[in-house]
Amino acid sequence: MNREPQPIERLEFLRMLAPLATLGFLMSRFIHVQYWLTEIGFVVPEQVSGDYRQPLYIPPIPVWLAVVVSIATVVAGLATSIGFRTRISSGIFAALLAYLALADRLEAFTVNKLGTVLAIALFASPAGARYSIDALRDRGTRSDSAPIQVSWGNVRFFQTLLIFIYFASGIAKIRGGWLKEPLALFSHLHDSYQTAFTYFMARTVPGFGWTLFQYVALIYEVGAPLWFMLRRTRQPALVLGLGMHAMIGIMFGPVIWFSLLMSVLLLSSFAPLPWLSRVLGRVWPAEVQPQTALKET
Amino acid sequence: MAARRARTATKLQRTDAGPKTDRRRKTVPSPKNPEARSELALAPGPPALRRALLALGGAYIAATFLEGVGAQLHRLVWRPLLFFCQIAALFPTAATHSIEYRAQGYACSNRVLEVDVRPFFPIHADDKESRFDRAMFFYRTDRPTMEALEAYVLREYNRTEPDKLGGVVFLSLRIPVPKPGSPFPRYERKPLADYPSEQRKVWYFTPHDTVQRRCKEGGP
Repeated sequence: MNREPQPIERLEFLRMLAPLATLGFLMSRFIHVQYWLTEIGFVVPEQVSGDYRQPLYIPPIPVWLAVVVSIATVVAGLATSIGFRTRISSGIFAALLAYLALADRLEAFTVNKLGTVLAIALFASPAGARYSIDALRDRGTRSDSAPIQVSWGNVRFFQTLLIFIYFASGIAKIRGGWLKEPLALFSHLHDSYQTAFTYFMARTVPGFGWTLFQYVALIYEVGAPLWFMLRRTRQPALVLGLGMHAMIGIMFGPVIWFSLLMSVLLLSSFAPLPWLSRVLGRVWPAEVQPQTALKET
Repeated sequence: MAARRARTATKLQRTDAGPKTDRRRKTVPSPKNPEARSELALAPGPPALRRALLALGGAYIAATFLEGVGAQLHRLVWRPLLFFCQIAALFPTAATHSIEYRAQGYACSNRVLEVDVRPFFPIHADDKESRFDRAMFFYRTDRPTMEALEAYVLREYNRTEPDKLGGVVFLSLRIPVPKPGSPFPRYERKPLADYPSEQRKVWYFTPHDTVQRRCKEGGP
């Protein structure tokens, strides 16, 4: 594995957007938080130890505390996103996300479980060193230039995680019969996740079209280690991945937050550096200028 | 002109593979290049901690992959940690039916009626991310949880309705997936009565004598 330092933009792009995708998912829960974390709503009773559905029993909390937890999660997530006291805010965000995922199996989905892991990883990284409030505050005090790179592990972790999520997902689909069942994808278009667009597509795209989509998705996932390792296939794979997540987001209603989180992970891991620099530069113009000036001298 | 040359050089140096010229040496921290530290942001803590975190990250990825492909790691990894490794694989199998979960109530006036549980589970009330659907999905064969769910539904329903319930039925609807190209309606939540009995599967019901007793005692 290449152990060269990596561009800091990858880490900062993820720091800026992953918390927002996670919070987007949680917002529809937070507005009814009393039905989630307190005895006002339905609470799954304590299961016998070792039950896979309840890895840890955490009793319900009072309503006022549930409200405090919700507000603190939103504040910590937003602070992480803008890079305000990033170390503290990402640590609090990670801890609260972990609590929310473990507190209740009924509201634990891939988004908040993966969001927790990303927040922990951001906490353990130098995220916030650039394109952040912290960086702007530091600029006034530090005499040297702002960092432009991070050590390899801070970026390779996210890249490798993403590749292996896809790879595992592809293998799971093969084991689940996606090769034998040509309409596996089509079969998931008919329940309460269905959107107007899904219905339109399900009615108009012929059966072989769904089989084609299905195999493209499968080849993309199973081949992810190859597609993203080879420089030549990386960009087409990125575009295909973003397209796949866009389709999932549009066609499966509430799954949009999962799609957004995966797209953020995909972009921060593999998007060409100028794309990320342009986005970050637009959001943090004051952060770009001194760096450019430094380079030009 | 000089500025443009400098910008081009910077662009060439900053590739995904890291810097390729002298900048690489300058940016990697070393005792000989102490100023290099300013350009490379390091994670907090001593090098040993950073190495340990890296190893932990590698172990997490391995566990996530193994869980995703179906390996059973619960004997090796503490369950609360393993929980965060269970994230891969969306729609891994084909669906033969669309599944919905519903509730009926045994009223003390001897009626059996459909109970719309959506007001009692307002989080994603109209889709399968509803807490009622999730509770049924995960725990439909777990009697203590079903009893807790029954108690909750009865409490919420009887709080406002004059015709009290003495018991419930929790069931799933198994609606066949249509064939591609065949005409089919858009998904909508229809009343339970619109579905034939062969599409219903009862998972939990309150025993008749319990319903009787509760109604005699003036409600659960």
